[in-house]
Amino acid sequence: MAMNGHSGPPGTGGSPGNDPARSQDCPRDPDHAGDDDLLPCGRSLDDVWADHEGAPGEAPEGHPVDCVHCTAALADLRTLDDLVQRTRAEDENTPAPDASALASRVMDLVRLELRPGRSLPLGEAEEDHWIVETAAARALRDAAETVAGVRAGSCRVAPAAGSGVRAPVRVTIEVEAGARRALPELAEAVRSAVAGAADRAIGMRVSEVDVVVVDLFDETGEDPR
Amino acid sequence: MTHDARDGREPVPPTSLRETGERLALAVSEAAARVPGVAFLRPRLSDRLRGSTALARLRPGSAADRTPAGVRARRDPDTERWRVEVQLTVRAGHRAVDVARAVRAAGERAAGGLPVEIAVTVTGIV
Repeated sequence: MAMNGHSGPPGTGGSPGNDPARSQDCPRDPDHAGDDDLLPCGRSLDDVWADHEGAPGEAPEGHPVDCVHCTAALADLRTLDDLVQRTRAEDENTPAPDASALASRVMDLVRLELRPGRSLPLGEAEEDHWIVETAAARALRDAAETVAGVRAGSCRVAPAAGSGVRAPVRVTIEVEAGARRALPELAEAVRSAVAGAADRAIGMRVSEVDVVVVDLFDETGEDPR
Repeated sequence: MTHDARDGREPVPPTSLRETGERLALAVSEAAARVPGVAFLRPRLSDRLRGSTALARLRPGSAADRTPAGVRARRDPDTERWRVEVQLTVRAGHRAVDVARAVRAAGERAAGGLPVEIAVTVTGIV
């Protein structure tokens, strides 16, 4: 070997030729092979594959046609090619992924990460627990919708104006109301459901719940508009 | 690196503080994940955009794979207390504030005697 006998990991500096995979036929250490992988027989995978596809590569002079290394590599390449073809065929049968939907999902995550919404006090004033507004608002909207004839719209939860950060919060929820029920009665039912959920499901102290009826709908199923 | 050995007191080296913080965050994270009602600790943005294991492979030893998801521990140099912030998602059917209190208690037990203040933020209910 021309290289310094002390270099390389232990065990690789012994007499060459004991291991067939590392015999003199193998011109390079496979661990450090570049992009053009050379087979133990000295030919590159690219050349073998080019031959198979009908564009003769640079077969070395006198290289055996039935070289075991080339044959084995070709078999592996055929298996790989088969898998690629099959996957490609499956892809053609499935609709192309909507790149804009993916991009919008990524951006939603980025926005949520950067601006998760206001943190609202959870529990008692002296505690140090919090809930983000989006999570609280969703739970309160769900509670509002347990009232028959109610579709919840936007829900804002914020510390009451002029109070400290750990003061009880004020909830403002917009709803669409079914036309079958008197609005004051429906609004009171929503207020009660929201306040109950804030206490029982979340554990957030609420000072007031404002219910804003923004629209009416026909409870037989069709929107009267 | 120089060591200030006046009065026989040596300042805590920054690397040791960082390691303590990382160990504390990991211990609290593991304890929090076992609390009933905790769905999961809030993943970092990098975890969401690509598998955390893939990121760890890509950047072994980086801060991203040493810091557990959803937990941040910082030491207040004035009070010498650790402030640990836990962000998590609660399972529906569990009262959020009760889960937060249980996580705080579990985190304090997991801190192994370090002076800690644990703040829990519920980032979602599923």
